[in-house]
Amino acid sequence: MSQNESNRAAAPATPAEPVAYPGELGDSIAPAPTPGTVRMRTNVPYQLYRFARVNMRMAKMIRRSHTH
Amino acid sequence: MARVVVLGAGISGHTAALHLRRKLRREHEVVVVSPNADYNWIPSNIWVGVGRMTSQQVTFPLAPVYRRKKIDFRQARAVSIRPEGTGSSGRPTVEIEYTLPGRAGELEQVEYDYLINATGPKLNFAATPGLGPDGGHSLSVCTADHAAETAVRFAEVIAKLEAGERQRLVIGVGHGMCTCEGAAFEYAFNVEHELRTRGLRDRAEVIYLTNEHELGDFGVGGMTFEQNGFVTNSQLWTESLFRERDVTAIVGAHVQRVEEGKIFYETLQGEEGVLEFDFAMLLPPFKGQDLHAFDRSGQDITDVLFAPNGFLKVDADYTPKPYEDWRASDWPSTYANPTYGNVFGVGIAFAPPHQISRPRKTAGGTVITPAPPRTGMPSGLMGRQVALSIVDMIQAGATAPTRTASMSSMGAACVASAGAGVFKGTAASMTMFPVVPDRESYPEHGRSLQDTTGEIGLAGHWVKHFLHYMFIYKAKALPGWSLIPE
Ligand SMILES: Cc1cc2nc3c(=O)[nH]c(=O)nc-3n(C[C@H](O)[C@H](O)[C@H](O)COP(=O)(O)OP(=O)(O)OC[C@H]3O[C@@H](n4cnc5c(N)ncnc54)[C@H](O)[C@@H]3O)c2cc1C
Repeated sequence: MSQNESNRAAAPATPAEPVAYPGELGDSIAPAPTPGTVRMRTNVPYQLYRFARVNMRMAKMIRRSHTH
Repeated sequence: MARVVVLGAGISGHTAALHLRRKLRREHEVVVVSPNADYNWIPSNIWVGVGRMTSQQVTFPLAPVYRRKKIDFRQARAVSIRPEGTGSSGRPTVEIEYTLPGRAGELEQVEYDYLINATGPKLNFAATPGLGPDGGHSLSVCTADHAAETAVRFAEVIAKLEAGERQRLVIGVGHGMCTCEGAAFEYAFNVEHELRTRGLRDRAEVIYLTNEHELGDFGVGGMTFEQNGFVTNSQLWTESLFRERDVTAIVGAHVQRVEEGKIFYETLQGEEGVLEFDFAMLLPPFKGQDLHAFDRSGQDITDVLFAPNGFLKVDADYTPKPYEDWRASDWPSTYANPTYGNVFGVGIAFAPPHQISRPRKTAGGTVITPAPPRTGMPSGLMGRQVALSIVDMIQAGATAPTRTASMSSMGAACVASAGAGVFKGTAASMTMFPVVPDRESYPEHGRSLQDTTGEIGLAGHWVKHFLHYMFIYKAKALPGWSLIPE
């Protein structure tokens, strides 16, 4: 038995296949993020930039919603 | 001297009361009638439900705020409205029943010149047998108390997972006509994040059970975004997130009943299923509070003031018409009742003219369509605009409402934020403008592509925490509160 296989045996069991239920979405074809995209979600300088952008967008939306 | 009575001290009613008091001269009275002693910043109940906050962090007592602001607070629930007054007096009244300890059950007639119904939703757990924490088999995060109870049950699930057991967690909505899918999505996102950061995700199956016909509908018919040079939509965005987080989704579902550890449901395709669970947080459908109305002679005129679902009729176009004929202009803007112009309905309490999502039903006739959401920002804005209209009617001689706040010309934000700490959290954030698609102004997608967005990352987590503290500060009416937008 290789090292890898013995590690796998020691790891907690993976969940059983979800039972198929009516309405359950099958295997999704939606795009999955690349590791780089996932990393950028917690990259502090980039997120500070996004924070500023999100706030500016919300401020614009609030201004437009409040002008009546 | 005029008296304005506000029913309900939630997001819309509390906002209305504070603006009324800010703008009305002292000789005019502002009365707030609400059954709970505390204000609850409901969006943060999500964090209470996973044990990241206590219920004390999302509530505060209303009485000291109203005392300081010279607003007359009566801890009571409204029971009925007499918009033409009673036999002896032509002055309209609302009957209230005290819930204040020591006066509980006492009835009182409160006269008004203007009335704002901001009583929010009645949590209609009764619509689905076995639904809800009070005598049912599922949990809720709709109130701070419900969320605190849910947190205890979630902690038990975590303990079992830590002991090596497998657990199935079902999160979603408990009826085909529910609204607030954004909140269910947010709670699912939080639960998944908590399990993963604790290293327990591989033993937990997380299932999202929703009445939306596809993921990303959110009761607003989905959204179209522009991202990295492509036009994409909230369906792909949500599916991508669920795929990444290994959340199984069951869509187009109406929960028929909930039993101990079992959810019975049917789907838009007409199939029936039974889902076993260890933990289920299912939001209830909403209806209006059971308020009644009587004319001067005592005749029941509840159907003049209220739609059959208990929400107050306002200046919307309620003519039944097919989906293709729905217009942004069907949606109300002044929130005045067409029969009694001094009665207003704001926030969740007003009757929407129709859904925003396309109506759908099963071959057997079960309606499975999200009801339209009336989220925090629109609710607050309606409260403010109606308050300012009333001020103009009392003090500037206006004969009709002067301010508008149509959901077809205002935006909304939904930020699902999870995790603790400044750098360890995450969030899925969506903004949309306008809430109700306006195909005349935005022929292609019904909404502005620039202002309708979805993104994932720490930035939204910071925004959500910032909003939590800012809105609680504002609701406490601390210095400068009125500068903070709704
Ligand atoms: C779990 C959850 C999470 C949410 N998250 C978000 C979010 O992230 N962003 C967002 O924008 N929105 C969110 N929402 C929606 C938001 O909470 C609502 O839009 C908002 O609370 C509606 O305000 P309201 O004033 O109409 O009703 P409420 O805030 O519910 O207030 C109703 C008030 O009326 C009182 N009342 C009830 N019956 C009577 C009576 N008979 N007489 C007098 N008073 C009465 C109640 O006690 C309460 O004070 C969330 C909702 C839930 C349930």
